[in-house]
Amino acid sequence: MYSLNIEVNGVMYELRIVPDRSLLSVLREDLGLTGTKEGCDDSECGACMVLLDGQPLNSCSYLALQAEGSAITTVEGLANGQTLHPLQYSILKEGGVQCGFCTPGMLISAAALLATDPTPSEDAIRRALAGNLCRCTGYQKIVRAVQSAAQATA
Amino acid sequence: MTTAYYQPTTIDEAVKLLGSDPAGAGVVAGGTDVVVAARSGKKPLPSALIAVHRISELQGINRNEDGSSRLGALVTYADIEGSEILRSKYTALVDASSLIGSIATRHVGTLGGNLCNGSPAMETGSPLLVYEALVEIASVRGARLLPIAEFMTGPGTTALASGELLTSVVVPELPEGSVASAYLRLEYRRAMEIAVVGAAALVVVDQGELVNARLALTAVAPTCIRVPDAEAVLRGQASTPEVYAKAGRVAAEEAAPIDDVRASADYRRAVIPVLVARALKVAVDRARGEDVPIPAARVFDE
Repeated sequence: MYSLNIEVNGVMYELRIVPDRSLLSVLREDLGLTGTKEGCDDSECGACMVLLDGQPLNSCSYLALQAEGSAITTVEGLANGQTLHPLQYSILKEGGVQCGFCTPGMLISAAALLATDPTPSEDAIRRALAGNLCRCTGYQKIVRAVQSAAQATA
Repeated sequence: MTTAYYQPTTIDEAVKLLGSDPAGAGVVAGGTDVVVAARSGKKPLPSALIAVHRISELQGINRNEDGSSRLGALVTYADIEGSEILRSKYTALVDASSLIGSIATRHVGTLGGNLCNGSPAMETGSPLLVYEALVEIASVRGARLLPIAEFMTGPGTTALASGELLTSVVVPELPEGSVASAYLRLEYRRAMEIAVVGAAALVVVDQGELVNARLALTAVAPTCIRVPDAEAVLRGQASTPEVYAKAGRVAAEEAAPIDDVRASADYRRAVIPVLVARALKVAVDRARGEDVPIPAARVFDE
């Protein structure tokens, strides 16, 4: 067992884990943060996306121990208490959630985009979400939700 | 079964760890190949993981005094996309890096990992071949430099001996004159894709003449390959579509594609002349000072 010190959504954790654990499994099973989803488990679908020191990351394919000392944001870390993140509000308002499985990853990728580009073009939004698959094929509404969140916060 | 995890902070420490357990130790950097292969059941994780991602000596893009550039093995695709030196001088490498995976992949995936994974479809291979790049390798026995063409030995294999660590890629100064490069690939979708066929071109032009040209192909042979006969067709010729087409036909003859899940050998061979001609056109346009977007693949999307 190896020690792992990580900050998740502003909270410090000290864990003991075996070396082959993925960051996703630690978030879901050890910390109970099940908002982050396991989709393909193969880095294809983006349902497991979290922010690692501010950058989007497929947590299913990242060794948890490699995150030692890092700050992680999961979908649970986007809202401020009971107040939804503008992206969460917009994706509800625009009907960008169907089954909801891809939504946490979509929100994480979109949050990373808006942090560096508060007024993105549609093309920039589509490029930022290119690693997130939605099998309900609701992309139009998801893209619209990011545009509307950008307008609301700009 | 992975039982040990080490996180060295220097190259010395890393190669000592690799040397002390040559059979069991394996390197992980961003994990986008190693961890994915393990999770999909293709290849288990090594019994001792050497996580090299915090070794600062393996980072950075730096210009050497002789005009060459050194790219640390940990340089990510996003680092390559954001580098002004690389965008202006080694554009094919930036074309290639910006096509890889998604934004998430490009932030953690590394140049060293792309090379060590040894895929014949690796995006960075053909650009590095046309730059005649060298790789720097360290072990407890010392350091050695190897031409990139000798580093790539076959599907999933490299020239790395047991106990060795790829530490950097050295890209020589470009040939003199009006010079530029481009990389294009055939793809079925714009993201999370692997090259079906890829082509890199580097050209030196003088007025309407190709003074020099280098060509490399991706995913049509056991490794990325240079195609010297096609290059010979181009040298000293006018930069015209007819000349590009002829070089493309010769390049197709030099390739040895296979049938696989992404394409048949025949289809790959048929596509090579198209990609070679397009890569040559973009490289020549860039050499003449035209501003072609990066990645150049997007120019041909519509």
